[in-house]
Amino acid sequence: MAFWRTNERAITVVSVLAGSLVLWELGARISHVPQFLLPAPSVVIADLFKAPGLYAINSLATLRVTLTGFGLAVLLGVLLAVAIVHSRIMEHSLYTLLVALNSLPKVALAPLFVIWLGTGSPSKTTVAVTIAIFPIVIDTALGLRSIEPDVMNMAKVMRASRWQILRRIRFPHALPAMFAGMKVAISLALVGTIVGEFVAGGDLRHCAGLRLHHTARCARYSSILYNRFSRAAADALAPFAAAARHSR
Amino acid sequence: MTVGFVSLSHVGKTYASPRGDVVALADINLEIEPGEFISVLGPSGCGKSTLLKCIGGLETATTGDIRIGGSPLAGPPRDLGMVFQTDLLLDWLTIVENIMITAHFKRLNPVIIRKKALELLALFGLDGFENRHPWELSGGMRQRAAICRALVDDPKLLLMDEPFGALDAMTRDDLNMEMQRIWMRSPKTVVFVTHSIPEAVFLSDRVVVMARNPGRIENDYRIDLPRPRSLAVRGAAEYSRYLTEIRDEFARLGVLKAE
Repeated sequence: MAFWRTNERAITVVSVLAGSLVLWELGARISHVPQFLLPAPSVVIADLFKAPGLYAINSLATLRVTLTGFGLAVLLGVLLAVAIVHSRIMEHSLYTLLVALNSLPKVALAPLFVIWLGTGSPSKTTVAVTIAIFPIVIDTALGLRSIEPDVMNMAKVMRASRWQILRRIRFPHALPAMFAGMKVAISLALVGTIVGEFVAGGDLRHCAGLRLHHTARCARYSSILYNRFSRAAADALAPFAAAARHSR
Repeated sequence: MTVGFVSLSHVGKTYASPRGDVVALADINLEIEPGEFISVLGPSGCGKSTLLKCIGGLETATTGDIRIGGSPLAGPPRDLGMVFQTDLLLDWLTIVENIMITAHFKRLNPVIIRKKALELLALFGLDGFENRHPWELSGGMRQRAAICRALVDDPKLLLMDEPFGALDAMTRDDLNMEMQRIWMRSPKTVVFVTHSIPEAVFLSDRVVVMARNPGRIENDYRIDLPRPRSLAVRGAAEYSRYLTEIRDEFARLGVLKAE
């Protein structure tokens, strides 16, 4: 009982994950669905171990672009938010521009980035940054701005400079909102990277997105599945799609 | 008429609103002596907080002249401490770090201020709480810490905007006693905004009564009660006479109903 109480969360998470894998496996085996439509997890794992190096290299390349894109989005996003909070002109110009840009589907811009930056990682990183930066700017600006008016009055009475207010009051106050933005941004950075890889793929050898695209094209039927899952876990999905192709 | 440490002549404050101008303060004249404890008493909406913000340089008066120590006001003056309605302690800092923010913002020697902060905390019965976070303290203790933050660099002028308004009656009495004790230890000019008549009379040398529409000073009472005043003074006939007098004034102004 004591073990359960101290590890309740971990136990729940592990059993939910393991349970769904077992259900998936049983479902795939009992229902007689053709393997190219729904391969069992055991088949996927087996396929993964046939060429672990290939998947590892592809996943690492994707991971690297995702993290670079995320890091740049955080850096740029926080700087933009600080500018927006501190200058009315920046708020009216930059903020408006950002909102307008966000309503634009970045997927549509991806081919443009490829034309400008080539098919290497810069274009993919750019797609990741443009998608991931938005929640960071919005949430950080909100956090920096939502200071109680009397707290600002208190700082003014103490003759604090704008920089001091930013460093000692606004920034620590904004941290929870910033982390909320980052939580959304990290998954968006992955989406952006995969989108970039779909479009830029071309002559690139190492990326999970290309691997996905390639295998899916070969398997055709599994494209529905990979579309659904690619957002969640590209690196888990690559062997899955490969298994579907393999089993055909 | 002598010119006080804080001197307001013909001060007015008008806010522009879509439905026309709103006169928050009209022709305020007030001279405050150095070391005087003065309460500004009035109903809500009479502009007493606006008046305090004008003295603190947080709002600019539309008309008239405000001088502190003889020099005209341009933004918050040096040697000013301010206590607000809520404690405004920053949750991510400990109590002593919250007080040290005064040193950071005013660019004072952190070693000296830290020593002063610990002394003040002890004086307010908060020794042992310096490394706690605000959420671990009761409302009364938090407001005590906020007062320490305002007093830590020994300002000449202390502005207090209904500082005990959010506290329960017992804590309020307790803090009134402590406020008096601290003030008597090193008398500084205090402008104390409140809507409690007993609190104003208990603490002050002078009580300024304000009325609304437009915000103006209606009367000025000198409170001649010997110090230190104990809570028992509230039973004294002198004290009750001041209370009655001020209450009658508010009744005359239509703020309080006589019956």
